[in-house]
Amino acid sequence: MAVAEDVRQQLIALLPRLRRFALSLTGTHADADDLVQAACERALTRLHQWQPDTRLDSWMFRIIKTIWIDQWRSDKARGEQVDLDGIEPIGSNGRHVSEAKNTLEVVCKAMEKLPDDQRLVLTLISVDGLSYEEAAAVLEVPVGTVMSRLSRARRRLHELLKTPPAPLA
Amino acid sequence: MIQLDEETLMAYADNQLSSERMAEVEAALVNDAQARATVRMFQESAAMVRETFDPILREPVPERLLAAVQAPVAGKVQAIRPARRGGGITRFFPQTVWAQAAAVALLVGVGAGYLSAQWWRTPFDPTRQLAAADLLLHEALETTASGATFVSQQQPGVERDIMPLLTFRDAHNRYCREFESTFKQADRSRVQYGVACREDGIWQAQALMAGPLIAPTLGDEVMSDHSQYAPAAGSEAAGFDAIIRQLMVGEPLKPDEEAALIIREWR
Repeated sequence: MAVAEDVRQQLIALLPRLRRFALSLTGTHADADDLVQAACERALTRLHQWQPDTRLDSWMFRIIKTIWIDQWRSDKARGEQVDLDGIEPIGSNGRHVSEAKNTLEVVCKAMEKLPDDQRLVLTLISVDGLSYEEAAAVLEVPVGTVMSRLSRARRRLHELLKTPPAPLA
Repeated sequence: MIQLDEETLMAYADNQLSSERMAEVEAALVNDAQARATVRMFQESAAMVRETFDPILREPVPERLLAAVQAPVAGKVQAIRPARRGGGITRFFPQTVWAQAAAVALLVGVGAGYLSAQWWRTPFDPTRQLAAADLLLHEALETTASGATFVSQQQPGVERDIMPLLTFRDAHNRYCREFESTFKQADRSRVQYGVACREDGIWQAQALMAGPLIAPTLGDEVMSDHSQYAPAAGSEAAGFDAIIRQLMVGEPLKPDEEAALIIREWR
């Protein structure tokens, strides 16, 4: 099947956002890229299910969400320690990079503690920047549901992050 | 007086309110320090989450993801269906061809176009169908392991699944594959079986056999389109298996041999 070249180009353009979305769900670069790769492979074999006049990004987010819930959440125990992987980008200022790594780890650890449905609205809206309505469309739930999950997620995140974190092992 | 509940304040902080409501909230915030603190909390948490994850946007995309997007579609499936040989679907085929081994030798080497005009009388326009199908068949057989299904949509509402069943070499030392091809349109599906061989880098159908048109309300055993095919005498015995045996030299390829060949692009 000749997958339209145009769609492949659109997918390539989406990759940075898909990686960011996957990173906020999985917590590490390696897992995030595994998730994005699995989503792209699935998308390419199911392209006939995507209607060209609908948003490709929403469709890809939905695929990533499904694979994340089906495969990642069943493999990993909740609240598990987030590992730092060795593939982080190296900065010229070593100290700055290690601070950035700490922030990522700390925030991801906190997000791990959220229920999946709250974490999903948080990633779509606060990480990817979708509007409430766009997020509702991706998740196929009412806007009111999105807002209540989001407010609870952000309240909880704020509580988790304002207390000083335990020293990192 | 507008109600400054948590969700309203959050929507305000996120700029998700209409301009009238936003103005109402702003007016109410003037006198409500606690509400202002809540708004600040939402703004800060949003900023922090964004700053945490935005750096990855600026990274170059890893090569393996670019490769994944650009890879040819190989029709992967989640589960591998056991290959159906014989049994299962009752097949009708033109008596003059399939019941006689001698006639098989005549068929092998004849182009697919001739075959389709003679033996493949379907509700679709066979010649138009075949042109696109040639490319699809080639891609399916080039990339898909036996037992896995290559799924594709040639036109809106028409799906064609191709499942290779077996790989072998023929007397001309070509690689050949038996396959099952399913056309799905609306709620009907039609199954065909065929053998294609690879010559000069291209897979081309050498023999094709149509199965019954299956309508879901009637089930497998009711054939709605008998008129197009003459049942062969002793149809089970003179089945497609016999043709394969005629064509095949040696044994069928084992899964690992086949997998290695696919990776090497059949060289």
